[in-house]
Amino acid sequence: MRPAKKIKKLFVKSNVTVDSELDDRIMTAALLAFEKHEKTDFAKLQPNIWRTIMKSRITQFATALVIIIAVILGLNIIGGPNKSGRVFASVIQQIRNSRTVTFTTEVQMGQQTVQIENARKEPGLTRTVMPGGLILISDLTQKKAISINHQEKQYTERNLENAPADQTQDFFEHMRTLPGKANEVLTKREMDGRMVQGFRVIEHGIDATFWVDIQTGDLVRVEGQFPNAPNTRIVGKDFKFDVELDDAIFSLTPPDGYTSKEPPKIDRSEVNCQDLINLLRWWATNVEGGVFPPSLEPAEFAKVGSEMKKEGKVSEFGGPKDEKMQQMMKLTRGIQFVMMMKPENDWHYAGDGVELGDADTAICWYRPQGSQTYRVIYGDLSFVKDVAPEDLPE
Amino acid sequence: MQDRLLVLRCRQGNKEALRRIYEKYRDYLLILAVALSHDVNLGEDAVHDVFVSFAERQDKFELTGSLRAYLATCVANRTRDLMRRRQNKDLCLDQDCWAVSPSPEPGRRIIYNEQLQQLSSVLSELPYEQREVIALRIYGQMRFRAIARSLDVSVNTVRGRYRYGINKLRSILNIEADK
Repeated sequence: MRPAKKIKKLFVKSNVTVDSELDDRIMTAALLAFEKHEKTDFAKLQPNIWRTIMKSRITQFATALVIIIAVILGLNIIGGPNKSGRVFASVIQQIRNSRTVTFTTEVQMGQQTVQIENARKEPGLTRTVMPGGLILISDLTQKKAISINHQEKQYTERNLENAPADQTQDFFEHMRTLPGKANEVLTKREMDGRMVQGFRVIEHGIDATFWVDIQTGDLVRVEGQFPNAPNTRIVGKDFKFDVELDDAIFSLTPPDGYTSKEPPKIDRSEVNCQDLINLLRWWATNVEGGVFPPSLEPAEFAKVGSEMKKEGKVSEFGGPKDEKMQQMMKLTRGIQFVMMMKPENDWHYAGDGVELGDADTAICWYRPQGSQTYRVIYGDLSFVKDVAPEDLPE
Repeated sequence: MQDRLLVLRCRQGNKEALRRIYEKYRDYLLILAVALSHDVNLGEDAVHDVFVSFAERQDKFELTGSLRAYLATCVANRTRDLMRRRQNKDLCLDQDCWAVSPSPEPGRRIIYNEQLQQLSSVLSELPYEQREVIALRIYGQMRFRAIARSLDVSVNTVRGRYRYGINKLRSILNIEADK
């Protein structure tokens, strides 16, 4: 075995069992150091638009002139940009500090819009009402959750002990992590009968615009977009902060007379190229025509799939309902793989109309993270690694 | 993205986020530190110092790349510093300093398995510079350029250390296989 492989194997198989005494020693010292550091003073956060404006020489000159005139006239105009900054910082502060909040989320994916009602109460209580009456309640302090399906009178209980972050951090939680300064202040406009100012924040891959009532400083609407899902838009609205919320609506106790249902087993391993290949194979095998889908763009894929299903052109999944669900969830991993593609991956799909088994036609290619070469998948679902850019299909 | 959110929460003063970062990377960093130092106590100290420093610097810290790679580099640097310090004090560096065994010893806070002992023993045959590059490359999954940047040396130097280290490992591992 090559030495690098041997060393890697040893690293992978290496293991430590740590006594709580060591954890205590390290965390005590770290927390002590942590408490000493100066936390970011929220009140000092200012928008960086002033810096953006001052980059332009023309605005530098104009701004200097305005300031001089203002000083001469005894006017105080320096508060202009800072005032907007305080408005936005104040909104973010409200989001972070609210003890309770209710709001509506609209998820727009292609032509479809799904409306979700949300309620949150500190510490760690969330309630989400999905279309069709499905209710999701979670208690992050107890690390437990329950989903209740009123239509089928069923409930599923879940332990969130080792749940990944994407299960415990929703849209609102992401808003809480945003900085108290906007990347861009947008033009004022009218929205729902109110004059609002927009603040755009681009952080951690999220592009969000906050629309704030100029008169009251209330948050009217938040519009968010995720670069990995360009056709998916999330809108948050009807925000009400620090309202009275009864603990009973966050109860994890199942309703009387409802039956328990096991949660579906979800494969949490990292999605990879093989998941995409599985999806492509399934489509070409089970959808009438024997060719690959016209598009792998999620909304378009879902739309075409839905149309094909309505026309009776899709083979049904076999087995009981739970098994069908498992099979479907496996397939979504293929779409997740596509959704993970970033601009630097230079993803291309050209499978429209290509028959399964066509070994000479490339149906998709992409550049794995950090690689200079590409991975290409062909119509027979074989793939070739390390293809140089000059050797890619046109 | 989860790491970015955790780091941001730390900056906001969230202790739970700091604890989660520690829990997430503790074992990974301990394995790295012990593999590099071939010394249980020194490895613990390196990880301790890195986390305390990380907690202290939250107001200035900006995560520009991978948190995992950042912490690994910190541990490698700190391990090097501690080893130099110990060399200056002429402390024992031979195999007797390694007191690990798969079975727990009284007072020992960490139990390391046989693979880690073997790994550490093999790597200890290399100069630290080569050990460090090999560990960051193979275990840290860092690219040569990133390693060079973090160690403040040229990419060619890093590649050279890696190549020499791997060549040396080849003969060490062959000798072990022959035994």
